[in-house]
Amino acid sequence: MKCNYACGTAEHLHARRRFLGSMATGSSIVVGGLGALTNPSTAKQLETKQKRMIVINMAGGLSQLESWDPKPGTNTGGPFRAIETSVPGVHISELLPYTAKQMHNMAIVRSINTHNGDHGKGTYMMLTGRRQTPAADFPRLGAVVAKGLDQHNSALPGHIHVGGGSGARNNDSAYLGPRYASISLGSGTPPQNSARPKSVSEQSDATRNRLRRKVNSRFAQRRRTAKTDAYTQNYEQAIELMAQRDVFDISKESQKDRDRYGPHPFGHHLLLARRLVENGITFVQVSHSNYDTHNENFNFHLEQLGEFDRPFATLIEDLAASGLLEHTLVVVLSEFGRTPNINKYYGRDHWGNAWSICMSGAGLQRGAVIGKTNDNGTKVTDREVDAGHMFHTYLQALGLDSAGHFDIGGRPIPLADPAFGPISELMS
Amino acid sequence: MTYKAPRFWATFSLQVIVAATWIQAADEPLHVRIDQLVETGHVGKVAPSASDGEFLRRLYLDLLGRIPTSTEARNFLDDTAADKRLKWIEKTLEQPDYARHMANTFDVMLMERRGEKHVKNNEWRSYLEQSFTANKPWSTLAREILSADGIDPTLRPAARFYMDRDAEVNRLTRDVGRMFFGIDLECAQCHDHPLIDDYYQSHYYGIYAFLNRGYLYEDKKAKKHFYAERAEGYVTFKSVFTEESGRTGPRVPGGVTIDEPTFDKGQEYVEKPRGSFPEPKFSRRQQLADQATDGTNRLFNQNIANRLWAHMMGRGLVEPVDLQHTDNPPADPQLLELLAHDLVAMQFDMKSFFKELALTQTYQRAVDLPQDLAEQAAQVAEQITALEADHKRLLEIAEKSGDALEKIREEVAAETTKVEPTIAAFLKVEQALTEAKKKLDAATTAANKAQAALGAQQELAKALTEAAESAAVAAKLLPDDKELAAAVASFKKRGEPLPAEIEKLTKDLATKQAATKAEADKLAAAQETTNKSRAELKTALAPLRVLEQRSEEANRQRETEKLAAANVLRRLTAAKNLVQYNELSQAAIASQAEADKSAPALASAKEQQQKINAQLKGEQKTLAEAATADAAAQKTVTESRGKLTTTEETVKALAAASAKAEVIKKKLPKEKELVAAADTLKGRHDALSKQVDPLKKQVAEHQTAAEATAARLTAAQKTVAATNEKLATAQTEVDKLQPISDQADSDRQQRDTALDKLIGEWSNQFAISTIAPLSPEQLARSMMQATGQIERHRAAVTAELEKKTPLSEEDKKNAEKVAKRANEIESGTRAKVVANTAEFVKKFGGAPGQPQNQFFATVDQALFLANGGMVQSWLAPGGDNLVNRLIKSEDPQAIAEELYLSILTRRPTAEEVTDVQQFLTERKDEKTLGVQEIAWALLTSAEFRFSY
Repeated sequence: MKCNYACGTAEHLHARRRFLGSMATGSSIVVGGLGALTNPSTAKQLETKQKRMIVINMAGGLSQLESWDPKPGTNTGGPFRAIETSVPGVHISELLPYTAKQMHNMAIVRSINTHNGDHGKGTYMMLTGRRQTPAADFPRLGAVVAKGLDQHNSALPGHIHVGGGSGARNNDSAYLGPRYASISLGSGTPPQNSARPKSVSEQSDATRNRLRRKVNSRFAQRRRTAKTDAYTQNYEQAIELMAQRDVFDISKESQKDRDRYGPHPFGHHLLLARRLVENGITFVQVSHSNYDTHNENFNFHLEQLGEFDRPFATLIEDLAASGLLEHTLVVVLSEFGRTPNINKYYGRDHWGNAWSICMSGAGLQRGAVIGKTNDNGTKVTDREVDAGHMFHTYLQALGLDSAGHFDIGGRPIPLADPAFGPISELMS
Repeated sequence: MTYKAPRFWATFSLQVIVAATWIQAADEPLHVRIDQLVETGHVGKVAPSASDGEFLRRLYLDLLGRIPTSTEARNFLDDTAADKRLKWIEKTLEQPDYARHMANTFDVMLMERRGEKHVKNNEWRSYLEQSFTANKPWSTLAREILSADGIDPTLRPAARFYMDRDAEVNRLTRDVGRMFFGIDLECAQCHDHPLIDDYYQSHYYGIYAFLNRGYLYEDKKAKKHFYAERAEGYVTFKSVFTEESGRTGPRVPGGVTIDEPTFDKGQEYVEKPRGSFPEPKFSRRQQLADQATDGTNRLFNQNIANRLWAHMMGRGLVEPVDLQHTDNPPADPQLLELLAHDLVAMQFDMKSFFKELALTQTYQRAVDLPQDLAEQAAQVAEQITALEADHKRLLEIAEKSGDALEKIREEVAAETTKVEPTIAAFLKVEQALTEAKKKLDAATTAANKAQAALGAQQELAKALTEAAESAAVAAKLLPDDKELAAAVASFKKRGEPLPAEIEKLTKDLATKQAATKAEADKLAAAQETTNKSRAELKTALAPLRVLEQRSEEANRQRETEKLAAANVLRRLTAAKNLVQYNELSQAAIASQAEADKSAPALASAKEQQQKINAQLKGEQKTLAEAATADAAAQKTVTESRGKLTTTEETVKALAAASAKAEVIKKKLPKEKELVAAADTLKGRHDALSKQVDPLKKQVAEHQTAAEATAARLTAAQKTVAATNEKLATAQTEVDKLQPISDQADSDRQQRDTALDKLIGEWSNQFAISTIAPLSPEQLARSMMQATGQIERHRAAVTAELEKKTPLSEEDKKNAEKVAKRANEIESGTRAKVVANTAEFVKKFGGAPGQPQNQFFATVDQALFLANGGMVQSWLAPGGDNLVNRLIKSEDPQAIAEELYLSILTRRPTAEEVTDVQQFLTERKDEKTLGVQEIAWALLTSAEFRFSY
């Protein structure tokens, strides 16, 4: 038989069996899809344990040595000390004093090796869990998560990028389709067309929608399908979204909270991210830039992390306090790390061979540290992981079967690169 | 433009087409045979025919990409000809919108909305449109695209398929497989397909080998890119799973590896290429184009038949259209064979094929299920046993042929291993040949250089000699001129060393020429060795090619048998599902009858329950009040009793004290103080004694009152207890009857689920019409059509042209100028329509480079149509648009008819007319608004969004 792979893992065979099974019976054991729409009990189940995710992208490449994996006192360590955290024995850079107090809510992976030092490829890899190939494009993490956790009964978009943009859809969902493409909100621009035009009064809007429902219900008496239902349902969701525009309005947050997150755009963005996940939005991505510190690495990190530390720690603290952290995965990632070697401009260069990612919440163990680098951080010495492993880990932490597949118009497409698997020891 | 039948028709071998009797015997037109197959393949009856309006809407959307105008709809509906559908199908296929819509359909199918790179999108679109205007056969169109290099200006747009994918070989391999053969081999790039047994890594690389020699060539002078091809480059691949490696030559899916003609080293390219870049004498890409399109490639033929079917029917026989394999069987394998066979026989004439499809009853069916399902189920139930036996038998046959295929595949593998050393040996000598050619080229270059050097020196020597001689003549005539003499001397002097140098260069040249000759000999020897080795290889490969052929045949056999078994299984499942549905339906009817029967009892029990509950509530209130009153009365009794007791005790104590004081008083009557004290005590006693009786009386009164409240309490308790009992009785009745009603609900739900399943199945079998979403272009254009926006665009363009460059009276008599103006208006209007359409594509289309046939419903779309400025402006009254036409009318009936014909291609029902009438009466003062509201509701309805 041809399918006798060297990698013949149980997951692989399982996925295959399930696929063939679903082909034969016509039933659907796949993630997402229209099936959930016609099955109200599924929708309800999702609602109660709805998972969410926030990604903070440290654009340019955060230095692992000035953050999650400090090496003070070595030839690569730089000027900063390591400080104790709320987890005994775990130390991080002194640039993150507030974050250190939240370490019991977080986990660090210190053994990432992506063999890559290119910004574009690195970003692609970390956000798709796959290498960029010319033959195919893959959906970004936010699109995969938004589809995987889609609540078909929610009017709010599932995939949001905070910062920049005008409320229109981006093109980053590949074959998953526009429903899961990100919407870029500036510091709180509501989605495009979500306001009723001046030419249509509230009463007229209600009237025309009443007429529309009547036309639809007549047609539905002859035939209805999941697709016709989905289409008609969208208008109801649009009405709901129009009523919920406040979700995107950060000015509705208290002055006290705005002070706690800080007066700078990054603070606003994290507060908006909190507001969005509190309102049930599945995936929010926030960027903090720019960490591409070929010059003056230390001054830049001092300044940048000084801005990052407090609002980030506040976010974790708030989510933990409200209990939302149980259901919300927060990831701080970059396209790569920075070289242990310090160049003549006191900078650090691109480096994908031994760097770190910090995570928190959802189904992850708290306070865990995965993997190790050597004494001066030039090599991974334990539990090496790739972008693909991280991608699987995120999905598993969110309760998605990362070895499963989406049914895309009858095509089975794996959620994550089947060549990898999750860091299973990190799951709680 | 007409197309000559390509040469392959002469050699067309029927052997490669399935020679099943049902195809040969057929002398009925294709549409009749399609209907026969669909009806016999389906388990149960098929849906009734669609209404005229539904048919026309479907036809226009499929062939013209838009809904009909209200005038067209009216004309068709009022046409009384018996064969009006045939006539309108023919008429529709001749409309200019046909080519435009097909150009769009094939653009989206082949380019999937990729951005423009090396070929202009509008040139590509107009190439497609011209192709459809001329009714170019698919085989020709596909051949032009698959063999394109961009040199021939008229065919340059066809190179967009390759060049705007950056000539990237993996992207091209996947998309050639998907779009021309209906197989998506993407997951077979790095290993045999993990989920699909039929897809092998060698299939992927078979296509890859046609394309890996292609590259983008940039002609800087012409500022253009071309898709050039090299004459060398072999393909090897390795599975990331098994580490097994393989090689393949070019091989079309379902075909045998092509063994290429051979050319001597240095002779691989044509002498006078057509373009500015080398052109191989043997083009693999041309081979791909020829082999795919010559009518003998089954997958190629089935792919286009299936795609054209899907275009008309809303769903492919194979679905998704690029995932054909035996575990994803076609809805009916025989039907797919028939379609492919006849399309080839029609020489890939797509227009005629569309006509046949449109003429089928299958195309003209309604979305409604037939009425008499129960009757059908009874008939179908009788077939189940036979189908089961049939399935078992076919499965056994298929298994055997599967084993046979496996065996041949093993033989192929063994033979591949066997020829590997011969291939390796050949590659080695070919490598040596390449080296020898390189050396000869180097030697030739050196010799040419030496030749040039010698020539230069020889020319110099000649020039010097001549100069010296001429100068000498002059010097003779002017013997005293010393300068002249010096000049002669210097010419001579310069010429003196030359002979030696020339001799040296001559020798050098001779050496190099000899070296060249030696290298040429070596090359010839190497060429001979290579030729010999190649001949050996060819001999060695011959058995492998035979095996490949046998393997393909075995695969065909297995496929046919596996599909036959799958098809019987499909029918068996359908039969069981119909029977099951019928049982569930009967059960639902029965339990509903039961429920209906017990419904009055249940209702009255519930009513009773409600009544009792209301009564109980009152009684409980009374009870509570009685309890409170009783408690208060008891308390009063206790209190008054307490008071009496205390008084009596005090009286008693006072009596004792007073008696004792009286004794003392008698003994000491003179002691005034003592007498006074005794009197006081007596006075107190007497006074208090008087209170005892009233107190006793009060206690008695209070006791009487308390007895009364206690009696009331007991009575209230009894009442409540009695009512509770009644309630329990009613509850028992409800408990008895409720499950009957619940059962009916649950049975109905089960029946509805089964019905959904049945409808899905029947729709997949084309027994009832599929409900398919409009493409973004169909939706945009139909919305513009319905609202009258296209005409408004046209009016605006005309007005603008008239303002900018008005035609004089003279011009208007000039036919050429009038035609030119008409053209300008047409293209200006089209540009506006295209710009509007682009906005719909953004909201309703898939991402560039992704399959575009998926359905997405997003909130964005609803917001765009509800709140976006574009659609709002289309509904603003203006010119001759829909809303403006309607508000001018005073007759609500006429308004309703025009609304429904313009938007939904049907006349409104009586009920709908009444609705419109009533609504407009309500909206009397705001007629425009009212019309806009109804128009918007119809435009955003599911009925408009879908083709049904």
